[in-house]
Amino acid sequence: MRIEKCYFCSSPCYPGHGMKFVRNDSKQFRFCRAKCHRSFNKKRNPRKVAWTKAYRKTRGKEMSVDSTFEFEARRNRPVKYDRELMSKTIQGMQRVQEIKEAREVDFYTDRMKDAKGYKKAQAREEIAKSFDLIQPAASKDRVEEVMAKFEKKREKKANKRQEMEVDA
Amino acid sequence: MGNGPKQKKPGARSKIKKYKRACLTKNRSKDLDQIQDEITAAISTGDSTLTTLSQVEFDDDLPGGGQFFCWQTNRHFPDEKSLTDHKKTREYKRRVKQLKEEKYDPDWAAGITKEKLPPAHGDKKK
Repeated sequence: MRIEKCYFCSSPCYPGHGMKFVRNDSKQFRFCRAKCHRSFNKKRNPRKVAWTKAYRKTRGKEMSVDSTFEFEARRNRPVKYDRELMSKTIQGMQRVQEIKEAREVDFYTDRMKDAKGYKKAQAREEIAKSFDLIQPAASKDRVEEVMAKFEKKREKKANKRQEMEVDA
Repeated sequence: MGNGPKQKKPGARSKIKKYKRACLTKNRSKDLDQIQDEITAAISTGDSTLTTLSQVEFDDDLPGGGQFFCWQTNRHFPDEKSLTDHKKTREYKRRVKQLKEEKYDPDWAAGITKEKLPPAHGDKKK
């Protein structure tokens, strides 16, 4: 028994689930569900479909290079049963999974580090663009004035932060 | 003849799901990775300009005797002109662009590496 990976979305395919397509050059493709099979038949590129692992990895949304990946391999050579080895591997698998999950969290926080700033900048831009929606009467004459206020507030905050850092 | 392209009426088997599905898999066109494999095979045999890919033996059943073949889209054409016209189409250009991309590796996407093992039956060179 083997838990295979879906060709299209890379999710696990458990025995009895999904389907396997064997091309006439004897290459085998495993699919986890009809959605993936259909997308494959439509000759879609998994790297360009947003809900696949391949997409997320090519865009740097998930870890693609890590030493924890080296433990998961397609092992085609059988190993003679050994009780001690078995228990050790199970322990090892759990430990590797722990490390992997911790690293994934680190990767995510690192990736999202600047997101807050970007979002704020975007919001500020949107306000400046559609200012007359907020204050129609004042409209364009007051845009610069109000935006200058924003800038002042920001500067004040930045100055305060600097002072705090100096004190610390 | 001469009425332009006519849409064919669906035949008696068009409603038989089993038959339709069998036809679809039987007439499945070549996948991108198969063509990419052909390219690497041609380059490894010393054909860097990929001229061997478009050379097909004369076959009476194929359009144009199989002499006007576009290997990128895996299609036969009846004459030189339709082949050159085809090479100006958006479909052809898109396919050429896709073929230049790196081959998709499902193992890489799933985070599976290849196992490195010593040979099972000793070193065969000895």
